[in-house]
Amino acid sequence: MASSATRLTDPRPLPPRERVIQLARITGDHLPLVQKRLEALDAYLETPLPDRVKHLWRYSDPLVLLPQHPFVVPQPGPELGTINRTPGIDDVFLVPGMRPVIVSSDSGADEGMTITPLNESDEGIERLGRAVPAQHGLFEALNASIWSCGVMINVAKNRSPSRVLRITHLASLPTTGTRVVINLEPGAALKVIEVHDSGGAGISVLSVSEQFVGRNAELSHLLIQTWDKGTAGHVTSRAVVEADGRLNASLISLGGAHYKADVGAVLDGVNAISHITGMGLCHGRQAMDHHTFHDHRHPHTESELEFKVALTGRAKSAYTGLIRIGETAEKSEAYQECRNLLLSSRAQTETIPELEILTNDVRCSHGATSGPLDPEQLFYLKSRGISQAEAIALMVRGFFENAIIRVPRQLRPNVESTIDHHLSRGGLK
Amino acid sequence: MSYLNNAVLECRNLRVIVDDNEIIRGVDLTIAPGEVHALMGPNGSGKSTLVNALAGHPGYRVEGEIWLNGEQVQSLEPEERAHKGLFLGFQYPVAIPGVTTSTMLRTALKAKQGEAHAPSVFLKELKRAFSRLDIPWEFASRYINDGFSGGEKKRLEVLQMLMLEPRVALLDEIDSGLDIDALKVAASGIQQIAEQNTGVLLVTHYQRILAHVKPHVVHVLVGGRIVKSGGPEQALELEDRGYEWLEPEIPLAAGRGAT
Repeated sequence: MASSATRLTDPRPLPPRERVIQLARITGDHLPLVQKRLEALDAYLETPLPDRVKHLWRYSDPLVLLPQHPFVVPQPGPELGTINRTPGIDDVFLVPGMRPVIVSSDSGADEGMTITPLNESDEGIERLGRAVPAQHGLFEALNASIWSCGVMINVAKNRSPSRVLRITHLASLPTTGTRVVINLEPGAALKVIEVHDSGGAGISVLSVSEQFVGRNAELSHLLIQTWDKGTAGHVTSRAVVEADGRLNASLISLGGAHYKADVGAVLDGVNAISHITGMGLCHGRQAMDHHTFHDHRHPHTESELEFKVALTGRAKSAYTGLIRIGETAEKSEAYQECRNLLLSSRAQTETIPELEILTNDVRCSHGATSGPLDPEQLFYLKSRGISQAEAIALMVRGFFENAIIRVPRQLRPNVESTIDHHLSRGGLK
Repeated sequence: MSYLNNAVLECRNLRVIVDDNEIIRGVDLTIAPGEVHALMGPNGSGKSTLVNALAGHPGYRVEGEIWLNGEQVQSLEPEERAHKGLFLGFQYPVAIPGVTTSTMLRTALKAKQGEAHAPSVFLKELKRAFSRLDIPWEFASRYINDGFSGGEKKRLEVLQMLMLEPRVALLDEIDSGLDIDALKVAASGIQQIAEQNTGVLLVTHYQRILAHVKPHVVHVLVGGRIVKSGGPEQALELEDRGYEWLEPEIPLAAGRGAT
C-alpha cells in the first residue's frame, strides 16, 4: 500500500473522474464497484447543493458539512497501534484509505457471522446503494463515489452470534468516507454498534450505513457519535426490514462541531417493526441536526420513535421526523415523540414532525415538547442533600435513560462513561 | 432563648410569602430531640407551605428565623439544610423518570457523608430498609415514584427518612393514601426515628396516625398562624369538633391553599 501511495501523490490537477479511478485502483476495487463509484460521481455532479429553504436543510449549511477537497486521494495513515481483543466483542476499524482492520473477539468460533472488506465482497457490492442509493442526496452520492474504507457483514440464516459487533469509524483524514453494509439472512439476529470516533478541526466525515433485515430477522443497531471537537460530518443510516423482521435502533449523538444525521427504516414487509430511540447532548456552540424517517410500505407494520435532546450553552439542535404510511400499508401503527431539555436560555431547538399518510385505517400519533428542568424534581433531589449540579446531572442522565438501556450489556459501562465525559464537558457533572 | 441549644428545629416569627400572598403569618415552633409534634389544620391553612419553606423551597419568600441544631439556616440551599440534618417527606412525592431510587439514595448518602458507602454495605442497608417497610425489593431499581401508588410513594418517603437518619423530619401528610397495614408500618418507622432522638413534625388531617405515633404536642394551624398548641388530647378534640370553632378567631389566608 505504501508504494502505491507514493505513486499517487501526483500533483497534477485531475478532474474528479480520474481521481475516483485512482482511488479505486489503490483500494483494489473490482470493475462493478468502479462502475458504481462513477455512476455515483455522475449523480453527485448532477445534484445541486441542497436548497436551504427546503426544510431538511433549513438548519444546517451543506457547505459546513462538505469536505473541502473531497477528491484528494487519501494517503494511508499510520498503522493502528496494538489493538486489544475485547471479550464478547468483534471489532472492525474503518480507517479512510486503508483496508478495514478486523479483530475477532476470542475463540473465533463460527457463529454464522462473516466480516469482509466491502470492496472484496461481491454480495456487499451488489447490495451497495440498495437502501441508500446515490440519488438519496448530495452527501450520499459523494460518499458512494469516494468512500475509501468499508465493511460487509453477513449473518447466515437462523444464526444469532452471541458476540457484539463493534464497527469504529475513525475520522482521521480531512475527507473521511466510510461505508457499511449489514445483511441479516432470514431468521438471523445481530447486535451491532457503529462508533464514529476521533476527528478534529478540518475533518469532515461522510458515512453511509445500509442494513438489510431479512424475514423474521432482528437487528439491534446502535449509532454513537463521539467525535472530537471541531469535527463536521454527515451520517446516513437506513434499514430495510422485511416481513416479520425487527429493527431496534438507537442513536447517541455527543461530539463534533456540526453533525447531521439521517436515520431511518423502510418497513418492507408485512408485520415489519422498527423501534428507534435516540439521544443528543449538545453544549458550547455545537450544532446537531437529526432527521428520522419511518417508511411504512406494507400492511400491519409498526414504528416507534423516541428522540431526546439536552442542550446547554449556545448549542443548537434541529429534529425533523417523517412518518410515511403508503397506500398499501393499511392497519399500520406509527408513533413518534421528540423531547428537548433546555438547560440554558441561549440554547435553541427546532422540532418538526411530518406525517404523510396515504391510506385510511392506520394509527399514527406524534408529540413534541421543549422545556427546562422541572423545578419540583430539582427541589425533591436537593431536599435529599444532593447538590444542584449533581441533581441536574442525575436528571439529565435520567432523561437519557431510555436510550442508554438499549445499549448492549457488554458495552454499557463504556458508553456510560463516554456520556459522563460529555456531560462534564457541558458543565453538567 | 435558653431552649435554643437543645432544640433540633426552631423557628421564630416565620412568615412565608408566595406570589405576594402571605401564607404563613408569624409562626413560632420549637422541637426538641426525640419529640413528635403534630401539625393539624384545615385545608388551605398553610401546613404544606410551612414545611416546604422550612426545607428551603425555592418558590417562597421567607422572613423570620429558622434554626437547625443551633445554626441559622433560612438563607441556606435545601441540600445544605439536608446536610445539617433536615428531612422533608413530601405530600406529593414527584416522579423522576430515569433516576432509580437506589441511585438517588446512594448519591444522597454520599453527598451527606462526603464519601460513598461500599456498594455491598449500601445495598445491605437498603435491602433491610425495604423489608422493614414492607416494600418489594424490585422497587429499588425502579425510577423514583414513577408509576407507584400513593401508598407506595409514602412508604418510600419513610424509607428514605430511615436511610438518611435526619435530626429533624418534617412529614407532610405521610398518612394519606395508606391502608391500615401500611399505616402501621409507616408509623413504626416514624416511632423508630423519634426513638433515635430525631425531632418529628407530623403534618396530618387525621387522628388516625396519632394512635400509632404518640405526639408530645399538637399544634393547630389556621390562616397561617398556630392558634392552639396542646397535648395529644387536642387531636381527639379536633376529630370531634372539626376546625370551624377555631376559625372565627382568625380569618383564613386569602389566595392559594396548601400545595
